[in-house]
Amino acid sequence: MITFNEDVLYTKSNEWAENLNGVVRMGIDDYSQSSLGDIVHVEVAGSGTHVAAGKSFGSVEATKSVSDINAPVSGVIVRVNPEVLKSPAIINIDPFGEGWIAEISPDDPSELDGLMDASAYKSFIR
Amino acid sequence: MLIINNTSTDPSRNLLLEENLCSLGVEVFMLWRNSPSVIVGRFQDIAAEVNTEFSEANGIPIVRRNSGGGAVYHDLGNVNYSFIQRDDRRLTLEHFARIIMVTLEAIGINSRLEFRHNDILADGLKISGSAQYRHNGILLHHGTLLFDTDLSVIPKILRRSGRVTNIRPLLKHDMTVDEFISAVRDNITWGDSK
Repeated sequence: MITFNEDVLYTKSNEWAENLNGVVRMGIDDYSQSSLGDIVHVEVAGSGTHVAAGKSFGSVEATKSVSDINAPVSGVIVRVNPEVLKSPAIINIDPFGEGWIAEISPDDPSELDGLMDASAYKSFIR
Repeated sequence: MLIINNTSTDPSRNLLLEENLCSLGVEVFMLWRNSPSVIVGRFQDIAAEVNTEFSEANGIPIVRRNSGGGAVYHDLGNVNYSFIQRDDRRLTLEHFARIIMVTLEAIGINSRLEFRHNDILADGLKISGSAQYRHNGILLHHGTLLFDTDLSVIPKILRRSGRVTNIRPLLKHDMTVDEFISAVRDNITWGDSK
């Protein structure tokens, strides 16, 4: 059973993004975490790194598969969730909440308009 | 689908080729073998996984791959397969394992799926393992087929090894590794794993 968070936006590469007072918090979504299985390792670029929308800035390793983590918007990473680096399995348990991965200060907040809302995303992955 | 019968047996070169094929933008199915080598997963600690004294003493190189999973021993009796295609999260480890199982069945090998790691077992022992790497919208799924590997090396070179067996002794009609590669190529199907 895949959970969708109605309050966030989605990328084609299965990340979610949410605008929190001008900072974009992101993670991988429930569909992604459930298809990957047990997540054992997360690696992301550190705070201060400029990332480009749709480009990889890290990777997530499940038991046997490694996947890119792509930036939902272009901008500068302002915070990486230290908890997911320590205990990556948090992403499996709570991908939209405690399992957030990074916060990005966007170059252009209107870039979020190009992402899918939950209903568009549901049809996209179907 | 570009079907490649890669005859190079140099592990570093083969893994680099696989990586380069991922940026070609075409679907690929490749069969290939490595000369004796240990291939370790993306984030593995080599010292914890490989008996490096044994590998050095025997001139067996250790090569890192981009995908996840554990360390595996390769030799010319092990056949590797690679699928490269546009990423879709529905293309799970299980999806490809089932394609391989159907192919093995056509060759006369009955197997079953081990659900925790999506390994393929015959007679309760592992004959095939696989791993994935997703990058820039492209999925690489690759795996091993233990056909006629020198299994005695595995516990000497790997610090952690599971229970494995070869495919060759399970065949009703014996074939060489080259004949097995041809049989896999002729019987592989994709898009329909059911």
